[in-house]
Order: sequence, then structure tokens, then C-alpha cells
Amino acid sequence: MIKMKNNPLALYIHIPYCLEKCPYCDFHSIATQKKEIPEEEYASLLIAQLIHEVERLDLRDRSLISIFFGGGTPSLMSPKFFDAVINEVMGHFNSDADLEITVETNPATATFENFKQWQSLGINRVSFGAQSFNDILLKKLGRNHSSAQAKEAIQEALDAGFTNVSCDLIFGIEGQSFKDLENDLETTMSFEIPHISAYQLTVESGTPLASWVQSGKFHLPQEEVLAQMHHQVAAKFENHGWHRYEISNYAKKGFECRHNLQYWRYKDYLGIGSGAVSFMNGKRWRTTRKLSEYLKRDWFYEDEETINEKTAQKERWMMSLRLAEGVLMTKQEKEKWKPMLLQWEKEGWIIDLDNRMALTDKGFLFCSRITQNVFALIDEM
Amino acid sequence: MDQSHIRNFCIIAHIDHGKSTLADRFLQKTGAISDRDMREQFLDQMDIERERGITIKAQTVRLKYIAKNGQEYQLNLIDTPGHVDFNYEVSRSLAACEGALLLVDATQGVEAQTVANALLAMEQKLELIPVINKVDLPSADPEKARKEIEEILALDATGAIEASGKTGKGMDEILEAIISHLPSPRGNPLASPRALIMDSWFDAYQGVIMLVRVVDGALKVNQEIHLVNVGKNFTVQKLGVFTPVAQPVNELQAGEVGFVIANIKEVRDTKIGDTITDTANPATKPLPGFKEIKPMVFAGLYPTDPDQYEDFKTALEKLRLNDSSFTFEPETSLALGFGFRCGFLGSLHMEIIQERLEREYQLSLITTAPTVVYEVKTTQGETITVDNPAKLPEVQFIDTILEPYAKAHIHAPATFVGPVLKLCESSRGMQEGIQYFGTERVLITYHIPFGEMMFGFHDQLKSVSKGYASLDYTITNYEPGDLIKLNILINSDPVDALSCIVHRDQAYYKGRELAAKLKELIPRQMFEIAIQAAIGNKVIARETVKALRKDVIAKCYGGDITRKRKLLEKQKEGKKRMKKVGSVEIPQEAFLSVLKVK
Repeated sequence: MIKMKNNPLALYIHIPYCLEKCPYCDFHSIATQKKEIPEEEYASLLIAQLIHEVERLDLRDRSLISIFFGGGTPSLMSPKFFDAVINEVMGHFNSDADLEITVETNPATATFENFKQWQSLGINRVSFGAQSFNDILLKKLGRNHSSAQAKEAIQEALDAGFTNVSCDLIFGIEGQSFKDLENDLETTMSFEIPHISAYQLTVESGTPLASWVQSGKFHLPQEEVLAQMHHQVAAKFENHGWHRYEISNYAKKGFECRHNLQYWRYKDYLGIGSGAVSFMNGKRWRTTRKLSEYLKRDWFYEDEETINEKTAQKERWMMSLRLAEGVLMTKQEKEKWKPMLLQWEKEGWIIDLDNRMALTDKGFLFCSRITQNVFALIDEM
Repeated sequence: MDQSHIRNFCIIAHIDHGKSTLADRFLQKTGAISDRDMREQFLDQMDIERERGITIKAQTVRLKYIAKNGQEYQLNLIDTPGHVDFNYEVSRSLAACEGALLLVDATQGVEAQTVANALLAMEQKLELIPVINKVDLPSADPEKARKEIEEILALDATGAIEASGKTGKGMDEILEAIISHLPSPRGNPLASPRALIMDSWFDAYQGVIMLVRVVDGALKVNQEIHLVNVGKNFTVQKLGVFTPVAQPVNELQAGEVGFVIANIKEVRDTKIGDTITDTANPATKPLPGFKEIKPMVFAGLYPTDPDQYEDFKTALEKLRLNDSSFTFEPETSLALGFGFRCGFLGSLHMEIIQERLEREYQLSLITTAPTVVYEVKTTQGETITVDNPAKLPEVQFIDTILEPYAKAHIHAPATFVGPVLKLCESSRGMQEGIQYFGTERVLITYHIPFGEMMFGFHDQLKSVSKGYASLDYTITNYEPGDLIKLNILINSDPVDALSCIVHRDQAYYKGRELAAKLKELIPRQMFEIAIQAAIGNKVIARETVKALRKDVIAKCYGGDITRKRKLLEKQKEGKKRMKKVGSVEIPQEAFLSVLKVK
């Protein structure tokens, strides 16, 4: 394997703790009381793992574009925790001038004081899981915060000096009307924040939501309604200067999430913490999800996978098709798939951007199917 | 063994009346199989046979029996195939016997197959011993069964043996009755040899194995034999009998049953019902009753994955080695690509072959709706046979279309006469007779276009009679019918694999139903799909599958790309059983939808 020291890296740090589990979420975390979180211990474990990985993977002085604290609920951690971890990270990598440091934040957990301190630690991006500004809908989602708390938290982050603030919205909730969605979009935009993620409520297998849907306890809107909502969201944001750079992500120019772009552009990332996934050198693996093992320093890797050329090709397409910039096609792909590409273009699903292929707004709605078709084409190659 | 100490017999029974269990008991009783080696339904060797409870291939077993008179007898039990699709094979197995046990389930009474096979046996002049089985069950009514045997089959059932294959009751009586009631074979041991081929199959190590009944003379190892109807000569390499394990013998004498191996490579050289004689000293006349068997039901079989075409071909060739009643030839469909048009004896035969292809050869197949063979008289004065609706000539070249008819015997409790008649009438049948036996049972005979009854009819008969009616049929003749081709168009393109030949009176109704059924079966896709049914250029029905508005659009964070990829791969695999026609994905079931329209 050729060492690419200049090939920039993104660092993901997983915090597997929440005060409550949201019924629709399938990310790795456990519900725990704040005082029960072994903060110092977890920080020292993250540091130990970081040192180990830098050594093992020969990452010293690699250029770093992002640190992303995800979860779980990272905002449950104290400034001291972030201070310790960020300091350690900085000592190992060659950090990019535009280094993005994000903390996923639950509106119920952060205070103005915290935001102030985060700023001083170099954290420069806050991503709020607001989900909705309608208390009835928040309840349906099982969220532990109110609309007022969310609004207040976002305002506090802005007041504390954050310019790069993002807000997550969920639509397609049982009982949500087009008007309700419109209100959520308006409220979000009223903060003049440069980044918004708006994604359709998806039913992940094994979650309480999945069993509610199965048993008829929770009703998902009709497909027509959801399609309409997708268009509503896209039209609203794009008309007001947030451009859609990924299926569910909207940003003012220059505020696209660098960390997530690293995933979607199929580039290298290192994940540390229990449950975090890493991808580099043609391999993907996950640090154990067994938190008790991790806490015993007995951490090991799960789901280790060597990505062969064909699989890599599929994954590159799968991820990049989510982006407005589309996929950079190889000469071979472009030539071999020409008839299919022409047909898709005719149907209005894709646009041909010279050497790139990108989905249109209509195409975004069929991203999975189109990806499956691409998989089939790759299988035939 | 001298012929007076041989008895060749079979067991005639309706499905599930306990034939295989009874055979198992004989094997145990005569010590052919130890209790330790006994497994259920010993003679049904294929998984499919055991699962479906039917015998597909004929089997024989030689049993050594010391009778009450102290003498040793050779009993040859010939297990015949047991389904309406295999009528001719049954008749040839019966021809190898002098007598039969007529097995009737004491809880069910006489049923259609009992009647059909008993009649076949009587035609062959077989001596019958009535046995009333399952008398151990609480719901058994041996008296009623006895009465039915007398009334329906006109047989004296006063001496009918009450038995239970499960408890072993009546086994001794049956074995003694076989010795005392059934005639011994009466062939001429000194004449030129004549042996009847009952069945044959291919063995990878020994070539074709023929199951035979020697009628006259004897077969010997190293003998030059001549197969009369095929007109080919072979040399006997090995002779043997099943006890039930194969035991080699040097000679099979007049009256005996056994197997012959003669370095034969192709099963089709060993036709069921053919006569084996000596090449140098041939018999003057072959054994009577030989018929060339022809497949009556045809369907296109296509691999869902075009890469499996060669594997599929090899599998068909292998199956054909063992089953000469099934045929195949390459076929191309605009919709389905490269595949084979396969011919079967009937719908059950088709299901069995398809199941074996999928199970034993791991193939994933799409089957088109089966069709009967039509005879078409063209305006140019030719007669052509059509086994694929897509190959029907253009209307202007058709003078007459003839379709095959079958004579159907339906046996049912009298209370179901109404619904059974209705079903037969709606299947364009013509009534030929209703015969009452007592006040409870009735035999209904109909002349029905075989195309109407080859698929689904049996199931419907069962459903209208709450499972009590049973069916038996024979194909009789061809008659002209007012038949036309119904085309299905998907997004304006005719889909050859979905076209079918229907009666003009039913065309509108079937067209509408078929379009509606397809609408149900074809999943929504990224564009609108128009389904049209048409006769010639005239569209008679239209349905629309509305365009899908969107996929499930999952978020994608956290870097767990593997899981997402696998999910998409899994969904993609799920679509593999769909066939792309133009840009429309059509699921496998859709190609059989024509069968679901009644």
C-alpha cells in the first residue's frame, strides 16, 4: 500500500452515552444518567486508542481536516473532556488551516457557558439535533427537549460567537402536516444559520419505532405525501440561499460539512471510541460496541472488512451519488454504461456534468434504486 | 423358480390410502428389511416423492415368503406410479402383474383414483383382492367401504380383508390371500424370450437400468437382446432383482421380475411398454399395449440469471437421461431471453421437474404459463402443431385451430354434484354421464378441453367439493375450437411470454382479469406502466401501474458504509427474480398470472 501522508484524514470520536434513547435512533449508545458517565475514564481510553491507532496505522503528521464528536450525545461531556481529547489529537496530526471541529448537541444539554468554553477550545461547529420546533411532533419522536429549549440553545450558540451552526430536522412524522413542516422550515431559517440537515424519518430495523410501525402504533405518511415533503424542503431552502449539496443537507456557500463530505467523497477516516467505524487503506473496521469491554481497555475490532476493487467502486458510487456534485466517472464507466446513462438522462434522473454524473432533484428521490442499478452495472463489468 | 411359486402383484390405491405404509409392512413381515433399517415409505426414494406422498418412478421388490402350506414363494411387489399424469406408466406396471391388492381407506371409501386404477386393472384382467385399510382409526367405517367396493366397482367384497398398515393387522391374511387368490404367471418358459419394460432410469455408473417383467423364455447375462419398438440391439451385462437391495442373478426366468443392465446410454432407447427379445431368436410378436408417450403440456423455462443458461442446459440433459417423457428444445423469448420450451405429461410432472431443477441443480427459473399443444390448419392447407402461443400464425393464415380434449372422471359425494357440474360447465365441458352409486356417491364423466383443466382445475375441484371430489382423466382427441390469441402489452410492447390462447367467448373477460392481475403483481416503478390486453390490434383492457414517487431515503452518517451497501445489495438480490422487459421489471409470478384467471 502506498503511504499517502498528504492524503487528508477526518477523525470521528464516538460518545456512546445518551440521557434517553430516541425510539427511531439506531446509533450505538446507552441511556445513562449524566453523573454516571465515566467521563475521565472514557477520555483517557480515547487518548489511549488514539495513540495506539496513530502508531498502528502510521498516521503521525497526517493532515487532519476534521474532528467530529458524534454520538450518542457528545454535548453531555464537560469542557474538560473536550479539552483533553482535542489537545491530544492536535499533538499527533498536522492540522489543516480550516480544521473543522464539530460537536453534536442535544438542545436540552448545552448552556451558554458551555458554548463559550467550547469556543476557547477550538470547537468551531455546533450541530443541533432540533428535529422539529413543534412540541407535539417532538413528543411523537420521543425527544426529551421542547421547542423552546431548542430555539434557546441555537440562539445561545450564536450569541456565544459560533458562526458555523447546523440544525437537524426530521420530517415525515405521524400527524405532521405540510403547514407543520413549513413552520419548522421557517423557524430554522429564521436563525440565519449556515447549515441545515433535513431528513425523512426512516424506520431502522430493531428500533422501537420499527415495532411501532409494524404493530400499527405509529403511522408513516403516504409515499405521495413524503415525496411532496421532499420537494417542499428542497424548494424552500434553495429559494432562500441554502443550496442542496447532499440529498438531505443544505448549506450556505462554504459551510458544507467537511467531515461528512469526507464520507460521501469516499475518503479516509479514523474512528475512535466504542462503536466508531474507520476506513482507510482499503479496509473498514469498527471498534467494539461492547462498552464494558472498551472500558476494560479490552477493546478489539468488529466487522473487519477488506474492500476489494469492485466493492470499492460500488461504495464510491453509493456515497457520491448522494452529492449534488455527483460522481467523477472513470473513462471505462462512462463508455460502458453509455446507453443506461443516456436513458436515465432522458428520464430526468441524472445530469451529465462533463466527466461527472449527478442526480437531479427527481433522481435524488430514487437514489437507492439508481444505486442498485449501478451495482448491477458494476457486477457485469 | 417354477412359475407356480411366483406371484406378481401391485397395490391399487388412491393417494394417502396407505399404499406405501402397507408396502413397508410387507418388507418387514417377510424379513426383507430389518426393523433397524426400516424407514418410512421405503420405496419412495426421491425427496419429492416422500414429501408429496406420491410415487413417481415404478419400483419392484422381490419378497421371499414361506406360506402356511410350508412352501416357499417368490412375491414380486410392483409399486406403480400414482398420479393421473402417469396413466400410461401405470397401465404398463399393471401389465406386469397377474393380480392386485385393491386398497381402500376405511375412513375415506372408494375414490377417483381407486376407480380409475381398478378399471385399468380389470382391463388388464388382473385378479383383485379387496383390502380395507386403516381400520384402526376411530373414524373407520369398513362396512361403508365394503359397500362402496361392491356398488362402485361391482366387485365381491364379502371376503375383503380388514387391515391396518400402522398396527400390522391383516398382514398374514393378505400374504396368504396373495398365494391362494392370485394366479401364478403362465408364460412359456421355452419360447423365445419376451420381457416387458416397466420403467427405466439412468445410473451414472452402470448406464440405463431397465425394470422388466419376463413373460416368456428367459434373459441371461451376455445374451444379445433386441428392443422391438426402438429397433436396437444390446448385450446384457448384468441381471438382478431388488430385495429391496440390488442382488445380481445370472438369469431372469419366465414369470420373474428384475432389472437389466445392457450398456445402454440413453433412457429414450428404453421405452416404457417396449418388448425385449433375443436378437438371434426373436419372438414373432411383441407384447401388446405399447404406446409412444407424448408430452401434453408445454411451458417455457428461463434462467432468471442469463449466466445460468449453460448450467440449465446441462441440468435438463441430465434430467432427461432419467425421464424420457419430458422434452426440451431451445427457445428465445423477446421478454425472457434464452431458455427452453419443455414438454411434460401434465401439470404435476411439470411442477416436479421444475422443483428438481431448482432444488437439485440450484437454478433460479422463470416459468411461463403452461399451454396444451394446439393443431392449426392454415389457409395454405398445412397442419402445424403449436406448443407456444407466441408461435401461433397471424390470424389471416389460420383456417382452424384444434385443441385437445380429455375424458374426465370425477368421483364425488352426491351432495357436491351441483358445484362440480358448474365447474365443468364453466370449463367448457360437455357432460357425458352421471352415475350414482347408492345415494351417496356419484361418478361424473365430462368431455373437457384439456387446456381448461390442465392447470388449476384439480385445485378448484377440491375447493368446490371441500376436498372430497377426485379426478382422473385421459386425453382422447382433438376438436376445432373458436380460439384466439390474447396479447399482453406492457408500455405498448407486446410481451410474448404473457400471451395466451383463449376461447373467443372468454377473451374479454380473461383480458380484463389478466390485466387486473398483472396490475396487482407488477410493483410500482420509477415510471408509469401501462398494461394492455389486446386481440390482434384491438385493445380490450387497460390498467395502469402508477409511478413510484420515491425510494426510502435513509440518512447516511457515521461512516457505517458496509451496512448500507449490504442493504442495497440485498434489495437488489430480491429483484433478481424479476425479469426486465424493456425497462419494466416483471416478477416471476406475473408470468403465471394467466393461470390465476378463471
